[in-house]
Amino acid sequence: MIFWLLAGTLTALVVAVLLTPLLRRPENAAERSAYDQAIYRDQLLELQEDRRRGLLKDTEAEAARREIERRLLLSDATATASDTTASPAAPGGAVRWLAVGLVVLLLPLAGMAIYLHYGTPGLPGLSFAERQDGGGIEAEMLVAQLERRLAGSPEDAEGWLVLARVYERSGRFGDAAEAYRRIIALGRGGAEAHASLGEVLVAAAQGQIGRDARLAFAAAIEADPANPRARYYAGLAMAQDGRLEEALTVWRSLAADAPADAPWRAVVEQQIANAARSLGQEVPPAAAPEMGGGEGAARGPSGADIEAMQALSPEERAAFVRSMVEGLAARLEEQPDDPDGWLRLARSYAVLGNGEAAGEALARAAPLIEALPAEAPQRGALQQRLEALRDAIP
Amino acid sequence: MIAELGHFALILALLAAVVQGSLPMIGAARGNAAWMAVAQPAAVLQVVLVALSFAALTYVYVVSDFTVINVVENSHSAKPMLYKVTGVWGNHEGSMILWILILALFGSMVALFGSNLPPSLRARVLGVQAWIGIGFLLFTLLTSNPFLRVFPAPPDGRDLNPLLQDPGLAFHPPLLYAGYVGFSMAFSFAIAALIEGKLDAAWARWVRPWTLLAWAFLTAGIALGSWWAYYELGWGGWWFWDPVENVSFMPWLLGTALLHSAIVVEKRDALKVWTVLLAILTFSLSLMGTFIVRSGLLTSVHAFATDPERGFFILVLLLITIGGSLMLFALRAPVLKPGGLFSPVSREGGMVINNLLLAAGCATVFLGTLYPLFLEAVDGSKVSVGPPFFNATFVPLMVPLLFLMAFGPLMPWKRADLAGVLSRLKLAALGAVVAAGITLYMEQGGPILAVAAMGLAGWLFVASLVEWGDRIKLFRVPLGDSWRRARNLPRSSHGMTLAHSGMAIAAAGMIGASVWNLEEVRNLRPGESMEVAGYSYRLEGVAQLQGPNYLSDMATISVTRDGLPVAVLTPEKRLYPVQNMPTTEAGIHTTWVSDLYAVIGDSDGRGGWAVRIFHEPLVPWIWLGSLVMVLGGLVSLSDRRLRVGAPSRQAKAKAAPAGGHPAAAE
Repeated sequence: MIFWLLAGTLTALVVAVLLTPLLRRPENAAERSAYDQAIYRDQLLELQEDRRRGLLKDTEAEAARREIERRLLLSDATATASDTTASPAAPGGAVRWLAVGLVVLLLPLAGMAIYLHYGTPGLPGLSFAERQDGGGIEAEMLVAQLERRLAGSPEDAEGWLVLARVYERSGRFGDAAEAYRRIIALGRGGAEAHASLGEVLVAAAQGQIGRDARLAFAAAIEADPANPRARYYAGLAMAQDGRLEEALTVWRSLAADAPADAPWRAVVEQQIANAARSLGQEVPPAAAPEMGGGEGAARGPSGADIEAMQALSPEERAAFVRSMVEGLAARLEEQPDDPDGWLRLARSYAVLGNGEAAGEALARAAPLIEALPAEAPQRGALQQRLEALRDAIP
Repeated sequence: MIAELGHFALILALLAAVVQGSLPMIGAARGNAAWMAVAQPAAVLQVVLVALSFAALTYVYVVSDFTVINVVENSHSAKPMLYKVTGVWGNHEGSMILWILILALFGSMVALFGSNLPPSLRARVLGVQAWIGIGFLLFTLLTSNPFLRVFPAPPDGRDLNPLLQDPGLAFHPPLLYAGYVGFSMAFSFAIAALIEGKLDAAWARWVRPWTLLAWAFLTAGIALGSWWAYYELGWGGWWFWDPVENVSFMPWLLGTALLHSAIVVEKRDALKVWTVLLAILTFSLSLMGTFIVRSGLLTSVHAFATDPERGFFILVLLLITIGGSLMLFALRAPVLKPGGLFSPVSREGGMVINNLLLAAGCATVFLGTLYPLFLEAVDGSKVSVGPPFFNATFVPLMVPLLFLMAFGPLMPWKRADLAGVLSRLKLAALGAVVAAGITLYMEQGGPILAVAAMGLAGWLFVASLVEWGDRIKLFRVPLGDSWRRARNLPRSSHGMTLAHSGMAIAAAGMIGASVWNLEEVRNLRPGESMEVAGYSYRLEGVAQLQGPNYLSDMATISVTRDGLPVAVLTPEKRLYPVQNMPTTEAGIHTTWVSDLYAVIGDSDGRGGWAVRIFHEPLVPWIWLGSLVMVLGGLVSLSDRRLRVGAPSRQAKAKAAPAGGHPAAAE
């Protein structure tokens, strides 16, 4: 409303200013030749001045004076023959009102029409300071710093892992794949690294499982035949080839192996249900679980989640990542005895550019890792990740 | 809402321009004083409206309002405030608004200070000015609108090209545009005069100061751009004959010619038709300079817009403006009355030679710039026209120009005595010999052509001062008298001396920089050093720093000569993560006779860094000379003679014959 008020005022002002000369009785302008003559007289004065200052010799000054006077005379002579700029009679009423009408009616109308075509009148401004969801630069800076550190110490597999996941979260799947390849080349990461590599390759290919991804999943299964992620994607690859029966077999065996509380269980069962339906098989009602939210979302992106993410715009993807992080945070508040979870939360916050929350999550993880028995197998790895994150978070 | 108000103001500016471009034009043709009088308030309105629009755009940049697409594409919340503001014109759309704003500012000057112009001429000048404005406003609103919005707003922007995040480039476009747009005044006056069929005395008086102002801005803009290329690109060079540089250089060359021919028109009422043509061509080249970098024909940092729709619009706009104005010239130029006569050896004659050489120089640059583009468009073949072409064609044209520049100011109007002029140049000849001698001594020989060129610069420099010394009778009358004479001298005289000697200084810098420039690259570990041109450069270390929106590897290089410390250079290699783009910041120390210039390259991963050292003799003189030239232009502009009183309205109210077309009556 206030916009229209201001826009209207501005338009009225413009119209008023343009109308003033049209409504005023024009002053009688000087004759055309008078303008030339004023300048010639001015030049004569300048000449005198120059001469007084001794800038010109008398002969030069005399020659110049004669030339200017000649121009003056010429201008006087032509003045009688030439037209003046303004005809003394004011133009007729009709002509004047035509101009007034054009300005008063057409200008505001045209302005409104053009504006309504190109403008977005209803959309309020939104300054960065007023926003809660701002991007900030921390995430990009973090990545750049990490990249720079790794350029200096390319053997740091843990660093590459953090970087790979950050790339993955920000949708830079190609870079993430490169980072996973580094980890594999360093001989670290095991089946998980192969499976992760395959997963980002699938994400980069918009959900299609290409040759490289298949090789990666095969390598993962070779390293650890029980790796659920690799088995899941192996099944998905078969399904994409149209070999639904085989896919179903793989998934069914995966579901059978799955612990009852495995977060990815729901996804597998969903795929089994879909495949079975396509093949015209009976679907046991228990195998049609609800999707979205819940545990599946809390434990990081599953295959289906990633597939869903392919369809999203970068902004929506960022919102999706944020919702997953919130899910993870909520779960950790309920079951806080999970150092691995806290570390993942810290890393996620760091990626989202929330350094403060990342620091808090790290503070929650540290005592839990301390409390682990010294001989616990995961203790060393957790400790390393903690250190890496402490370095990465300012 | 601020963005929308800016958008609305821009649309109103377009409509006001339509009114300004139509009613006064028709009024001038039909002798309707009221319609003509609309031009002045409309021109002032233009400034107010476009300024509002520009302020609105600046506001959304400053607060990082990412509901505006233009801000998303060219800004980032973490960008330093200076670059948030300069980012307004650091992109295609915003720079168009700046262009229009400057155009409107120039137009309003005619409206406010043009009381000594005959009303019909003023109305027509403002009308033509409005036509240009309409073209640009339409282009902006239809194809390059900076006020388009997006919702929901993206979380953050994509940042400004890091190369443009630099103080030098922040102020290069406004100066360059002020130069380009300044030539629109000469253009509007030329077109208005062609329509009138009459070149008034006021015409000549007005064209010169506007040309001078535009020329001073353009000189400053080009110098700043070249300085930026020098310290930011890290190549050690200051001019690359890049098409983007050339398109700003061409209007400068023709503008310089125009500046000189406008003096002849003002003083002697001669060369009028040629001056009109020059005014048209100069502005046409300015338009090309503005647009060719946006049409997608050229790719460079400047080429922000490569959109076929825009390219087509630009082509049509150029065709109408250049084609239309040249057609008008062809039709109407014969109507203009030729002016005063002069003998070939005279100041006018000198200006003609100056004009011919500058125009020829401009033509070679034009060919060298556009021929490759043309060839590629016709049969797809790529030719590379680089410095060798320009050295072989452009430089030989400039040598006689510099040589003859010494003569011009010494020659009187109308008819000159060549022998007398030559005798006054004895001192300049001495200056040439001294400059060449010093060069020989300093460089122990050196290419003979370069030594001769330095002599030429010395010749011009001394000759410029000789003319000035002559006028104040330096050393021939007591110093007090000379001082009094110097104060009495019109400012335009001082301005000319400054501009000509600035040219000599800059020329010496250009020669020195291109002939005696040294470059060396070495892989250094911290603690190691290298020798270049008698200076020892020691890499002390490389620190990793973090700026507001970039990461930097900053090297510390201490420079010593014969064991004595000279300077500490801190070249940087920066990475801007948002655009994932590296930039270099050269470390430069100037001794005013030469520049010590260091660039840090990549690390070899084993503790060594690529260090590139340039020794650049006389380079600072290029910008020093440019600065002196700009100063000369401004001093000349402040000359009291440019202020001419308006004729009194009551003067001789003769009854004029009614009716009749003013142009036809001439």
